[in-house]
Amino acid sequence: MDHRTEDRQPEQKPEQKPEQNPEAELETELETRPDPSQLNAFERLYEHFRPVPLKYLDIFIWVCVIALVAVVAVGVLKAKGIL
Amino acid sequence: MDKKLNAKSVTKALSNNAIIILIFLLAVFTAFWTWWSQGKNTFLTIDNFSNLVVNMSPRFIIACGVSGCLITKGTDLSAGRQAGLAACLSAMLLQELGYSARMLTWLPDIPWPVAMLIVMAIMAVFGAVNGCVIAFLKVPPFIATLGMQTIVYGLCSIITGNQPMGGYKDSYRGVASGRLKDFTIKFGSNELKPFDPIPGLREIPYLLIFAVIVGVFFWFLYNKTRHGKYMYAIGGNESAAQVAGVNVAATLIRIYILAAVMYGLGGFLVGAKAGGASTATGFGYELEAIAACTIGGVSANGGVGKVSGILVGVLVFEALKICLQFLGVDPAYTFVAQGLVIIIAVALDLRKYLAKK
Repeated sequence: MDHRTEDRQPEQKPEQKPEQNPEAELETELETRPDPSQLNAFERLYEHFRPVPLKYLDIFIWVCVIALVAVVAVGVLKAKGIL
Repeated sequence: MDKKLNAKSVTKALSNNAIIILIFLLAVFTAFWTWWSQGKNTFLTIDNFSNLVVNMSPRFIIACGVSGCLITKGTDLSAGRQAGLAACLSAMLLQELGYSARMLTWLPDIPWPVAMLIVMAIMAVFGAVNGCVIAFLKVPPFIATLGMQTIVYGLCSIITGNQPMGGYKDSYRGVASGRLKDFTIKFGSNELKPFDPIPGLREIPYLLIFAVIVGVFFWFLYNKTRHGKYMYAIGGNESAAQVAGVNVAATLIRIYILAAVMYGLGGFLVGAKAGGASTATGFGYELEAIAACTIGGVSANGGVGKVSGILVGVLVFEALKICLQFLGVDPAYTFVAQGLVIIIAVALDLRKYLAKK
Protein backbone atom coordinates (compact mmCIF):
# COMPACT_ATOMS: atom_id res chain seq x y z
CA MET A 1 0.00 0.00 0.00
CA ASP A 2 2.81 2.33 0.98
CA HIS A 3 4.72 1.38 -2.19
CA ARG A 4 1.81 2.54 -4.33
CA THR A 5 1.73 6.02 -2.87
CA GLU A 6 5.49 6.33 -3.18
CA ASP A 7 5.25 5.28 -6.81
CA ARG A 8 2.54 7.78 -7.59
CA GLN A 9 4.27 10.87 -6.24
CA PRO A 10 6.90 11.31 -8.98
CA GLU A 11 4.20 10.91 -11.64
CA GLN A 12 2.07 13.70 -10.15
CA LYS A 13 4.89 16.27 -9.95
CA PRO A 14 4.92 17.37 -13.63
CA GLU A 15 1.13 17.91 -13.51
CA GLN A 16 1.46 20.37 -10.60
CA LYS A 17 3.60 22.79 -12.62
CA PRO A 18 1.73 26.12 -13.01
CA GLU A 19 0.76 27.12 -16.51
CA GLN A 20 2.55 30.10 -17.96
CA ASN A 21 -0.35 31.12 -20.21
CA PRO A 22 -1.25 34.79 -19.48
CA GLU A 23 -4.96 34.19 -20.16
CA ALA A 24 -5.01 31.35 -17.67
CA GLU A 25 -3.19 33.54 -15.13
CA LEU A 26 -5.81 36.25 -15.58
CA GLU A 27 -8.56 33.68 -15.08
CA THR A 28 -6.90 32.38 -11.91
CA GLU A 29 -6.55 35.93 -10.60
CA LEU A 30 -10.20 36.66 -11.27
CA GLU A 31 -11.13 33.42 -9.52
CA THR A 32 -9.03 34.29 -6.46
CA ARG A 33 -10.66 37.73 -6.16
CA PRO A 34 -13.09 37.69 -3.25
CA ASP A 35 -16.79 38.20 -3.70
CA PRO A 36 -17.40 41.97 -3.27
CA SER A 37 -20.48 41.30 -1.12
CA GLN A 38 -18.24 39.55 1.44
CA LEU A 39 -15.90 42.54 1.79
CA ASN A 40 -16.10 45.36 4.30
CA ALA A 41 -15.81 49.04 3.39
CA PHE A 42 -12.04 49.14 3.88
CA GLU A 43 -11.46 45.97 1.86
CA ARG A 44 -13.63 47.27 -0.97
CA LEU A 45 -11.56 50.45 -0.95
CA TYR A 46 -8.33 48.45 -0.83
CA GLU A 47 -9.50 46.26 -3.72
CA HIS A 48 -9.47 49.35 -5.96
CA PHE A 49 -5.71 49.53 -5.43
CA ARG A 50 -5.09 45.93 -6.52
CA PRO A 51 -3.68 46.92 -9.96
CA VAL A 52 -1.27 49.41 -8.34
CA PRO A 53 2.25 47.92 -8.17
CA LEU A 54 3.77 47.79 -4.68
CA LYS A 55 6.68 49.87 -5.98
CA TYR A 56 4.40 52.88 -6.53
CA LEU A 57 2.80 52.41 -3.13
CA ASP A 58 6.27 52.40 -1.55
CA ILE A 59 7.08 55.62 -3.40
CA PHE A 60 3.82 57.16 -2.10
CA ILE A 61 4.68 56.14 1.48
CA TRP A 62 8.16 57.65 1.12
CA VAL A 63 6.67 60.88 -0.26
CA CYS A 64 4.34 61.04 2.76
CA VAL A 65 7.26 60.41 5.13
CA ILE A 66 9.27 63.18 3.47
CA ALA A 67 6.23 65.49 3.65
CA LEU A 68 5.88 64.69 7.37
CA VAL A 69 9.52 65.49 8.00
CA ALA A 70 9.17 68.70 5.94
CA VAL A 71 6.05 69.80 7.87
CA VAL A 72 7.80 69.24 11.20
CA ALA A 73 10.90 71.05 9.96
CA VAL A 74 8.91 74.04 8.63
CA GLY A 75 6.88 74.14 11.86
CA VAL A 76 10.03 74.18 14.00
CA LEU A 77 11.76 76.78 11.82
CA LYS A 78 8.66 79.02 11.89
CA ALA A 79 8.41 78.64 15.66
CA LYS A 80 12.02 79.76 16.00
CA GLY A 81 11.42 82.72 13.64
CA ILE A 82 13.91 81.44 11.08
CA LEU A 83 11.31 81.17 8.28
CA MET B 1 20.56 33.44 0.38
CA ASP B 2 20.79 34.16 4.10
CA LYS B 3 21.93 37.71 3.40
CA LYS B 4 19.02 38.25 1.01
CA LEU B 5 16.59 36.88 3.55
CA ASN B 6 18.04 39.06 6.28
CA ALA B 7 17.85 42.17 4.12
CA LYS B 8 14.26 41.28 3.27
CA SER B 9 13.28 40.73 6.88
CA VAL B 10 14.98 43.98 7.92
CA THR B 11 13.14 45.89 5.18
CA LYS B 12 9.89 44.26 6.24
CA ALA B 13 10.46 45.10 9.90
CA LEU B 14 11.36 48.69 8.97
CA SER B 15 8.27 49.15 6.79
CA ASN B 16 5.99 47.55 9.41
CA ASN B 17 7.29 49.86 12.12
CA ALA B 18 8.05 52.92 9.98
CA ILE B 19 5.86 55.31 11.98
CA ILE B 20 7.11 54.07 15.33
CA ILE B 21 10.71 54.57 14.17
CA LEU B 22 9.88 58.05 12.82
CA ILE B 23 8.27 59.18 16.07
CA PHE B 24 11.13 57.71 18.08
CA LEU B 25 13.58 59.73 15.98
CA LEU B 26 11.38 62.81 16.48
CA ALA B 27 11.44 62.24 20.26
CA VAL B 28 15.24 61.93 20.21
CA PHE B 29 15.48 65.10 18.10
CA THR B 30 13.12 66.94 20.51
CA ALA B 31 15.20 65.89 23.48
CA PHE B 32 18.40 67.16 21.81
CA TRP B 33 16.71 70.34 20.59
CA THR B 34 15.35 71.28 24.04
CA TRP B 35 18.70 70.45 25.63
CA TRP B 36 20.55 72.55 23.03
CA SER B 37 18.17 75.53 23.06
CA GLN B 38 17.44 75.67 26.80
CA GLY B 39 20.72 74.39 28.18
CA LYS B 40 18.97 71.65 30.15
CA ASN B 41 16.85 68.65 29.34
CA THR B 42 13.21 69.54 30.00
CA PHE B 43 11.81 66.89 27.66
CA LEU B 44 12.98 63.62 29.18
CA THR B 45 11.67 64.33 32.66
CA ILE B 46 9.38 62.41 34.99
CA ASP B 47 6.84 65.26 34.91
CA ASN B 48 6.67 65.17 31.12
CA PHE B 49 6.40 61.39 31.10
CA SER B 50 3.63 61.62 33.69
CA ASN B 51 1.85 64.18 31.49
CA LEU B 52 2.18 61.81 28.53
CA VAL B 53 0.68 58.96 30.56
CA VAL B 54 -2.22 61.12 31.76
CA ASN B 55 -2.98 62.21 28.18
CA MET B 56 -2.68 58.67 26.87
CA SER B 57 -4.89 56.89 29.38
CA PRO B 58 -8.41 58.00 28.25
CA ARG B 59 -7.40 57.67 24.60
CA PHE B 60 -6.05 54.17 25.17
CA ILE B 61 -9.34 53.18 26.81
CA ILE B 62 -11.33 54.55 23.84
CA ALA B 63 -8.94 52.89 21.38
CA CYS B 64 -9.41 49.54 23.16
CA GLY B 65 -13.15 49.94 22.61
CA VAL B 66 -12.73 50.73 18.91
CA SER B 67 -10.27 47.85 18.42
CA GLY B 68 -13.00 45.22 18.86
CA CYS B 69 -15.04 46.83 16.09
CA LEU B 70 -12.01 47.01 13.78
CA ILE B 71 -11.01 43.39 14.41
CA THR B 72 -14.49 42.27 13.28
CA LYS B 73 -14.11 44.29 10.03
CA GLY B 74 -16.25 47.06 11.46
CA THR B 75 -15.60 50.55 12.69
CA ASP B 76 -17.16 52.99 15.13
CA LEU B 77 -17.35 56.59 14.05
CA SER B 78 -19.52 57.51 17.02
CA ALA B 79 -16.71 56.88 19.53
CA GLY B 80 -15.69 60.53 19.97
CA ARG B 81 -19.24 61.84 20.24
CA GLN B 82 -20.17 59.10 22.69
CA ALA B 83 -17.15 60.01 24.81
CA GLY B 84 -18.29 63.64 24.63
CA LEU B 85 -21.80 62.72 25.73
CA ALA B 86 -20.35 60.64 28.57
CA ALA B 87 -18.27 63.64 29.68
CA CYS B 88 -21.38 65.86 29.64
CA LEU B 89 -23.45 63.29 31.57
CA SER B 90 -20.65 62.93 34.12
CA ALA B 91 -20.54 66.71 34.45
CA MET B 92 -24.28 66.85 35.08
CA LEU B 93 -24.09 64.14 37.74
CA LEU B 94 -21.00 65.43 39.52
CA GLN B 95 -21.40 69.19 39.82
CA GLU B 96 -20.98 70.79 43.24
CA LEU B 97 -24.23 70.99 45.20
CA GLY B 98 -23.76 74.71 45.78
CA TYR B 99 -22.70 75.55 42.22
CA SER B 100 -24.87 78.38 40.89
CA ALA B 101 -25.15 77.05 37.32
CA ARG B 102 -25.92 73.46 38.40
CA MET B 103 -27.78 71.59 35.64
CA LEU B 104 -29.71 69.04 37.73
CA THR B 105 -30.67 71.01 40.81
CA TRP B 106 -32.90 68.21 42.11
CA LEU B 107 -30.13 65.62 42.05
CA PRO B 108 -28.68 64.60 45.44
CA ASP B 109 -24.93 64.27 45.98
CA ILE B 110 -23.71 61.02 44.49
CA PRO B 111 -20.24 59.47 44.78
CA TRP B 112 -18.13 59.48 41.62
CA PRO B 113 -17.94 55.65 41.24
CA VAL B 114 -21.76 55.50 41.16
CA ALA B 115 -21.89 58.31 38.59
CA MET B 116 -19.26 56.51 36.54
CA LEU B 117 -21.29 53.29 36.51
CA ILE B 118 -24.48 55.21 35.59
CA VAL B 119 -22.69 56.88 32.66
CA MET B 120 -21.22 53.57 31.48
CA ALA B 121 -24.66 51.93 31.67
CA ILE B 122 -26.26 54.74 29.65
CA MET B 123 -23.55 54.51 27.01
CA ALA B 124 -24.05 50.72 26.85
CA VAL B 125 -27.55 51.39 25.51
CA PHE B 126 -26.09 53.32 22.55
CA GLY B 127 -23.64 50.48 21.97
CA ALA B 128 -26.47 47.95 22.03
CA VAL B 129 -28.38 49.99 19.43
CA ASN B 130 -25.25 50.17 17.23
CA GLY B 131 -24.67 46.43 17.63
CA CYS B 132 -28.30 45.50 16.86
CA VAL B 133 -28.41 47.73 13.77
CA ILE B 134 -25.17 46.20 12.47
CA ALA B 135 -25.86 42.58 13.44
CA PHE B 136 -29.56 42.23 12.64
CA LEU B 137 -30.29 44.90 10.04
CA LYS B 138 -26.92 44.25 8.31
CA VAL B 139 -26.29 47.98 7.97
CA PRO B 140 -22.59 48.58 7.20
CA PRO B 141 -20.85 49.67 10.44
CA PHE B 142 -19.52 52.78 8.71
CA ILE B 143 -23.06 54.03 7.98
CA ALA B 144 -24.67 52.83 11.21
CA THR B 145 -22.08 54.46 13.46
CA LEU B 146 -21.99 57.62 11.33
CA GLY B 147 -25.72 57.96 11.95
CA MET B 148 -25.21 57.26 15.65
CA GLN B 149 -22.49 59.91 15.76
CA THR B 150 -24.94 62.57 14.60
CA ILE B 151 -27.74 61.30 16.85
CA VAL B 152 -25.48 61.36 19.91
CA TYR B 153 -24.26 64.86 19.07
CA GLY B 154 -27.86 66.05 18.72
CA LEU B 155 -28.85 64.43 22.01
CA CYS B 156 -25.84 65.97 23.72
CA SER B 157 -26.84 69.43 22.44
CA ILE B 158 -30.44 68.93 23.63
CA ILE B 159 -29.44 67.65 27.10
CA THR B 160 -26.86 70.35 27.77
CA GLY B 161 -28.67 73.17 25.96
CA ASN B 162 -25.33 73.81 24.23
CA GLN B 163 -23.99 75.21 27.51
CA PRO B 164 -20.48 74.37 28.70
CA MET B 165 -20.46 72.81 32.15
CA GLY B 166 -18.08 73.15 35.06
CA GLY B 167 -18.15 73.38 38.85
CA TYR B 168 -17.15 69.77 39.45
CA LYS B 169 -16.84 68.20 42.87
CA ASP B 170 -13.28 67.90 44.15
CA SER B 171 -13.58 64.13 44.30
CA TYR B 172 -14.37 63.99 40.55
CA ARG B 173 -11.50 66.31 39.62
CA GLY B 174 -9.26 64.22 41.83
CA VAL B 175 -9.89 61.16 39.65
CA ALA B 176 -7.79 62.76 36.92
CA SER B 177 -5.38 64.88 38.92
CA GLY B 178 -4.88 62.45 41.81
CA ARG B 179 -1.94 60.18 42.38
CA LEU B 180 -1.56 57.08 44.51
CA LYS B 181 -0.07 59.16 47.34
CA ASP B 182 -3.50 60.88 47.65
CA PHE B 183 -5.34 57.59 48.10
CA THR B 184 -6.81 57.53 51.61
CA ILE B 185 -8.69 54.93 53.60
CA LYS B 186 -10.85 56.31 56.41
CA PHE B 187 -11.41 54.47 59.69
CA GLY B 188 -13.83 56.71 61.56
CA SER B 189 -11.78 59.79 62.32
CA ASN B 190 -8.47 58.17 61.31
CA GLU B 191 -7.02 58.45 57.80
CA LEU B 192 -4.54 56.02 56.31
CA LYS B 193 -2.50 56.75 53.17
CA PRO B 194 -1.11 53.30 52.27
CA PHE B 195 0.85 54.32 49.14
CA ASP B 196 2.30 57.60 50.42
CA PRO B 197 5.49 56.12 51.94
CA ILE B 198 6.35 54.00 48.85
CA PRO B 199 8.62 56.11 46.58
CA GLY B 200 8.04 54.16 43.35
CA LEU B 201 4.28 54.05 43.63
CA ARG B 202 3.28 57.35 45.21
CA GLU B 203 3.58 59.40 41.99
CA ILE B 204 1.56 57.02 39.80
CA PRO B 205 -1.52 58.87 38.47
CA TYR B 206 -4.97 57.33 38.98
CA LEU B 207 -5.57 57.57 35.24
CA LEU B 208 -2.71 55.13 34.63
CA ILE B 209 -4.39 52.64 36.96
CA PHE B 210 -7.63 52.90 34.98
CA ALA B 211 -5.69 52.34 31.74
CA VAL B 212 -3.77 49.36 33.17
CA ILE B 213 -6.99 47.71 34.43
CA VAL B 214 -8.65 48.20 31.02
CA GLY B 215 -5.52 46.97 29.19
CA VAL B 216 -5.28 43.80 31.29
CA PHE B 217 -9.02 43.20 30.92
CA PHE B 218 -8.86 43.53 27.13
CA TRP B 219 -5.74 41.35 26.92
CA PHE B 220 -7.55 38.66 28.90
CA LEU B 221 -10.72 39.09 26.84
CA TYR B 222 -8.92 38.89 23.48
CA ASN B 223 -6.54 36.05 24.33
CA LYS B 224 -8.12 33.89 26.97
CA THR B 225 -11.87 33.89 26.40
CA ARG B 226 -14.27 32.36 23.93
CA HIS B 227 -15.53 35.85 23.09
CA GLY B 228 -12.05 36.83 21.94
CA LYS B 229 -11.71 33.75 19.75
CA TYR B 230 -15.13 34.39 18.22
CA MET B 231 -14.15 37.98 17.56
CA TYR B 232 -10.98 37.03 15.64
CA ALA B 233 -12.92 34.30 13.80
CA ILE B 234 -15.56 36.81 12.65
CA GLY B 235 -12.82 39.21 11.59
CA GLY B 236 -11.04 36.47 9.64
CA ASN B 237 -14.10 35.17 7.82
CA GLU B 238 -17.60 35.95 9.04
CA SER B 239 -19.34 33.32 6.92
CA ALA B 240 -16.91 30.60 8.04
CA ALA B 241 -17.39 31.65 11.67
CA GLN B 242 -21.16 31.45 11.27
CA VAL B 243 -20.90 27.97 9.70
CA ALA B 244 -18.58 26.90 12.52
CA GLY B 245 -21.30 27.70 15.03
CA VAL B 246 -20.27 31.15 16.21
CA ASN B 247 -23.22 33.32 17.19
CA VAL B 248 -22.08 36.25 15.06
CA ALA B 249 -24.96 38.58 15.94
CA ALA B 250 -24.56 38.13 19.71
CA THR B 251 -20.78 38.54 19.49
CA LEU B 252 -21.08 41.73 17.43
CA ILE B 253 -23.64 43.19 19.85
CA ARG B 254 -21.36 42.36 22.80
CA ILE B 255 -18.42 44.03 21.03
CA TYR B 256 -20.33 47.24 20.33
CA ILE B 257 -21.76 47.36 23.88
CA LEU B 258 -18.29 46.88 25.35
CA ALA B 259 -16.92 49.56 23.02
CA ALA B 260 -19.61 52.02 24.13
CA VAL B 261 -18.91 51.23 27.78
CA MET B 262 -15.26 52.07 27.13
CA TYR B 263 -16.27 55.36 25.50
CA GLY B 264 -18.32 56.03 28.62
CA LEU B 265 -15.34 55.41 30.86
CA GLY B 266 -13.02 57.35 28.54
CA GLY B 267 -15.44 60.28 28.42
CA PHE B 268 -15.80 60.24 32.20
CA LEU B 269 -12.02 60.50 32.56
CA VAL B 270 -11.68 63.12 29.82
CA GLY B 271 -14.26 65.26 31.63
CA ALA B 272 -12.43 64.89 34.94
CA LYS B 273 -9.13 65.75 33.28
CA ALA B 274 -10.46 68.81 31.46
CA GLY B 275 -12.39 70.09 34.51
CA GLY B 276 -15.33 70.91 32.25
CA ALA B 277 -17.39 69.51 29.39
CA SER B 278 -19.34 70.78 26.42
CA THR B 279 -20.76 69.44 23.18
CA ALA B 280 -17.30 69.91 21.65
CA THR B 281 -15.70 67.44 24.08
CA GLY B 282 -14.44 64.32 22.36
CA PHE B 283 -14.43 65.87 18.90
CA GLY B 284 -12.22 63.84 16.58
CA TYR B 285 -11.39 61.19 19.19
CA GLU B 286 -12.79 58.42 16.99
CA LEU B 287 -10.30 59.18 14.21
CA GLU B 288 -7.43 59.36 16.69
CA ALA B 289 -8.49 56.02 18.15
CA ILE B 290 -8.85 54.35 14.74
CA ALA B 291 -5.51 55.82 13.65
CA ALA B 292 -3.82 54.64 16.86
CA CYS B 293 -5.21 51.13 16.31
CA THR B 294 -4.02 51.12 12.68
CA ILE B 295 -0.55 52.32 13.69
CA GLY B 296 -0.52 49.59 16.33
CA GLY B 297 -1.20 46.85 13.80
CA VAL B 298 -4.97 46.42 14.15
CA SER B 299 -5.84 45.88 10.51
CA ALA B 300 -8.92 47.61 9.13
CA ASN B 301 -9.46 44.36 7.21
CA GLY B 302 -10.24 42.50 10.40
CA GLY B 303 -8.95 39.46 12.21
CA VAL B 304 -5.71 41.04 13.40
CA GLY B 305 -4.87 43.15 16.44
CA LYS B 306 -3.25 43.04 19.85
CA VAL B 307 -3.67 45.17 22.97
CA SER B 308 0.08 45.83 23.08
CA GLY B 309 -0.17 47.18 19.52
CA ILE B 310 -2.99 49.54 20.50
CA LEU B 311 -0.88 50.82 23.38
CA VAL B 312 2.04 51.48 21.03
CA GLY B 313 -0.29 53.22 18.56
CA VAL B 314 -1.71 55.54 21.22
CA LEU B 315 1.78 56.20 22.58
CA VAL B 316 3.07 57.11 19.12
CA PHE B 317 0.20 59.52 18.50
CA GLU B 318 0.50 61.24 21.87
CA ALA B 319 4.30 61.35 21.64
CA LEU B 320 3.98 63.10 18.27
CA LYS B 321 1.72 65.76 19.81
CA ILE B 322 3.95 66.31 22.85
CA CYS B 323 7.13 66.48 20.72
CA LEU B 324 5.64 69.11 18.41
CA GLN B 325 4.33 71.04 21.43
CA PHE B 326 7.83 71.02 22.93
CA LEU B 327 9.33 72.19 19.66
CA GLY B 328 6.92 75.13 19.74
CA VAL B 329 5.23 74.09 16.51
CA ASP B 330 1.98 75.88 15.69
CA PRO B 331 -1.08 73.61 16.34
CA ALA B 332 -2.06 74.00 12.68
CA TYR B 333 1.16 72.23 11.66
CA THR B 334 0.49 69.60 14.31
CA PHE B 335 -2.84 68.78 12.63
CA VAL B 336 -1.10 68.46 9.24
CA ALA B 337 1.51 66.14 10.80
CA GLN B 338 -1.19 64.03 12.47
CA GLY B 339 -3.03 63.76 9.17
CA LEU B 340 0.14 62.61 7.41
CA VAL B 341 0.75 60.00 10.13
CA ILE B 342 -2.78 58.65 9.57
CA ILE B 343 -2.21 58.52 5.78
CA ILE B 344 1.09 56.69 6.25
CA ALA B 345 -0.54 54.22 8.66
CA VAL B 346 -3.37 53.47 6.21
CA ALA B 347 -0.92 53.22 3.29
CA LEU B 348 1.18 50.72 5.25
CA ASP B 349 -1.96 48.72 6.06
CA LEU B 350 -2.92 48.80 2.37
CA ARG B 351 0.59 47.66 1.45
CA LYS B 352 0.31 44.70 3.82
CA TYR B 353 -3.10 43.82 2.34
CA LEU B 354 -1.85 43.97 -1.26
CA ALA B 355 1.35 42.07 -0.45
CA LYS B 356 -0.73 39.33 1.19
CA LYS B 357 -2.94 39.03 -1.89
